[in-house]
Amino acid sequence: MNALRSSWWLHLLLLAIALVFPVVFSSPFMVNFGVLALFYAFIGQSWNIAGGFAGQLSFGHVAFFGVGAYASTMVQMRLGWNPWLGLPVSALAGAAAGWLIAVLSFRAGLKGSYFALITLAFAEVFRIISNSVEITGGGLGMLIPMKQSMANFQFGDRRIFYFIILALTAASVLLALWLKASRFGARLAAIRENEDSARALGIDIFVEKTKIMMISGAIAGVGGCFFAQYFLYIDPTIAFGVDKSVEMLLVSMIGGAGTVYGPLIGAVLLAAISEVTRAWFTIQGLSLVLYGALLVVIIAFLPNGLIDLFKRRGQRPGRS
Amino acid sequence: MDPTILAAAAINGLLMGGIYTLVASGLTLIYGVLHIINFAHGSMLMLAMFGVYFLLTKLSIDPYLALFVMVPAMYGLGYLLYRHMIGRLSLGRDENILLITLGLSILIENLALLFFKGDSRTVSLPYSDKMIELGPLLLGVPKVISFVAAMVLCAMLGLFINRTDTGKAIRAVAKERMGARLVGIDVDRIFAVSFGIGLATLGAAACLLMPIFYVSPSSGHVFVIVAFTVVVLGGMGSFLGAVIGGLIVGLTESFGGLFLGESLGQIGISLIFILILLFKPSGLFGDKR
Amino acid sequence: MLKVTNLTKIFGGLRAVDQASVEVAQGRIVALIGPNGAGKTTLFACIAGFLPINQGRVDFMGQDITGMKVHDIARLGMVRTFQITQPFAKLTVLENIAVGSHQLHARRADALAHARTVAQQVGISESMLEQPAAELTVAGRKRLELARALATEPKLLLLDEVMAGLNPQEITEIIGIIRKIREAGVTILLIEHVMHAVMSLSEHIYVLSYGKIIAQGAPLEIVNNRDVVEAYLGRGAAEQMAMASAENPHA
Repeated sequence: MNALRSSWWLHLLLLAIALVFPVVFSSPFMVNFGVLALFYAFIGQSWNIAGGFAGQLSFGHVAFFGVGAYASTMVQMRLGWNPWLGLPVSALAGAAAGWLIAVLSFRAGLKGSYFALITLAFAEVFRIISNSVEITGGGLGMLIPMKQSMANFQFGDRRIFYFIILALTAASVLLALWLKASRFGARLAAIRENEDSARALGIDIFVEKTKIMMISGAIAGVGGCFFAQYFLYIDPTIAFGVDKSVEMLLVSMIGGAGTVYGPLIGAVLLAAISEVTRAWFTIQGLSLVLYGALLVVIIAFLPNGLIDLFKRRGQRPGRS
Repeated sequence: MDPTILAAAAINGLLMGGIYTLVASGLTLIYGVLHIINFAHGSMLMLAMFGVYFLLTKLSIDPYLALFVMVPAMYGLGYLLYRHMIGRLSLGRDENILLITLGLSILIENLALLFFKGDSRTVSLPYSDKMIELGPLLLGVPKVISFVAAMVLCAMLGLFINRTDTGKAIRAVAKERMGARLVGIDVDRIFAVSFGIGLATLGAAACLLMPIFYVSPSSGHVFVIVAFTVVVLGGMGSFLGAVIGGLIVGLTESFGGLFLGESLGQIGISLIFILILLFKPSGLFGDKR
Repeated sequence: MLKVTNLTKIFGGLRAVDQASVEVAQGRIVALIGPNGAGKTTLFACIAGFLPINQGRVDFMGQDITGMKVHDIARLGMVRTFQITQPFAKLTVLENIAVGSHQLHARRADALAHARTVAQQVGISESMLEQPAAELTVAGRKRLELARALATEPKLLLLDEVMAGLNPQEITEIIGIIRKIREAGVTILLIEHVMHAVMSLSEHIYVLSYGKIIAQGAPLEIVNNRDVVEAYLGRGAAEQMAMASAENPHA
């Protein structure tokens, strides 16, 4: 269809750049930067399909991330399963959490700001629970013992992680492209714009919204699994703290909510700000200050995100 | 369970609840009048508490006396903030303003982290450890003073809203914006005033909280959830609701901590929030919007 | 096709719709008229499932649809438009219509092609198709509402004041379009204030006043109906008019 066909070369170009990136820039710093940028693009896309595409803004998306992180870590540590199984497990766990929150919230008719706030509360509940029960390690969290091997989903050469997250992010981009070209995506856009009109045209808004929350939850869950394997440590604050929710939201809103590449643009920018401020200014927390300021500025002046800058120059990447 | 312990938990819950009421009344005023869900409420409270902290440590001003400084200062800050920033940005969808206040809260919290570092600060006053006897119970003096002060301030706010001309104008704007404009009320000024009052309540709450609590840059999160729960429980825009809601939340927190332990005990507040939103989003006293 | 029996909708203490019964036979164009505030849009909302009913029932194509969800009713083939247009603002006109087309066309390409055809039927020009719906004029939005609903290939169309805000030429065009839609086999129930359109289009008219159906019949009957005149012009108006025309037969 249109968007895909008219700019397939652009997509391939981006993929090519991403593939050679760690070969050209092979220092640990740059590889880590690449992993982080792609990671945020991935979990940002999770928020984006629910918030940007379907209009369901959530402030508690970290809930799905954390559920995935804990699920995959727990099956590995408590049940002795192969860590790679953590990927499907985290996807299922994230989808289940998405289903639960969706069903409860949408049955009650929550939308807009109320929905955003209740997702925040759910994330907080998960945080408190994971902080208080033994099976998750309580406040101490869970440490995955280092044992680098292919079978164990741990790699000394960080570039392997890079290619894994690249594959995941590419898959999420494909998903977003598919959404843009499908009936499901068209229905989500209709729901986002006007729920009553959507219903009048035969769209079951409850079912569609629940579906997208499940998909979004699955993606964030997988992001959690990846994160756990990359850093080998999770705790309630990391897994369910507000920071990740904010970052997932930020990359999408800044890059362009509801677009295919918005989260990627936002993620690269955010990762850049994060690494630059850390390396040059050695001040902790400066990056988040900038994030906050950036969010305010973007919402005020460029509500469609940075991708508006591309569009204004007359250069529209397909029809993102 | 020993009834004394239960009673102590109940009283402590009510005492804290009184202060939560003060915090929530600002939030509910801002929502009722401006229809803005001020996500930055928690981080602004944290900022105000740092203000109180420094007033004490650098200028030796007692937190309770600092009320005379903090309340007008925060009012001014709120007024200016609305006039020059929020007022201009609050066009468009409901969610936009929520995102802007979210952005503000991130900004404030991390600026605080930058300047004040991550440690918690507490203050120690000559009367910090003094106790009052209430039957078999021992209550901390600062807690009692704070509670009484909070209730007095809430009452004053209530009187202001109900008896003064500005208060009437505020209620008019909250009820019917267009109509208020038509009868000649300067709606923009009322918005700024309301936002100012909203922040002023935080200034007051900061003075009352500092002697009995701690402050750290990440406290904003905690306060946001508490404040929102109180407001949602009581009903958005309802002052009476903020009072009742505050007391209920205070009690829940206290009993939660008692029966579930420190860590799990916090879950009570978030659960109330979720349950209210799922089953009675207009809260106990709010109108159905 | 549509049979509404004794429908009552109460808001607080107010009977917005009071024991209204309406029948629309297949292939007909039926109009619902009445002074402002009579409850016409409320009746539509009840029929289409947007509002729960206090009393009465709604049968559509022989099936009891009382209490069914809006989207289920829409899928059965009854689609309504809104008096105050509600376009999908950020989507283009074509994308808007395609949402309707998707009801029966799963593939995006099919839906878009179908949407184009519908747009043509309704008189939306090619140049408008790529415009964001938010930028349309009132007339454009009304056409879009119509096109979107039509794209679902409904059996019964509920049109709520689709001519409000249109100039005389646009009204004439829309009348023609509505007739064509009926010729294609769609049954139409419309709320309208533009009297000459109502007269020329409808075969049967229901008059609603203060929530009650006060008259029904062919257009000419309705025009001469005393209760109808009084509903619009006030009590005693019918007599006054009769007296005035008796005194002055040439007036």
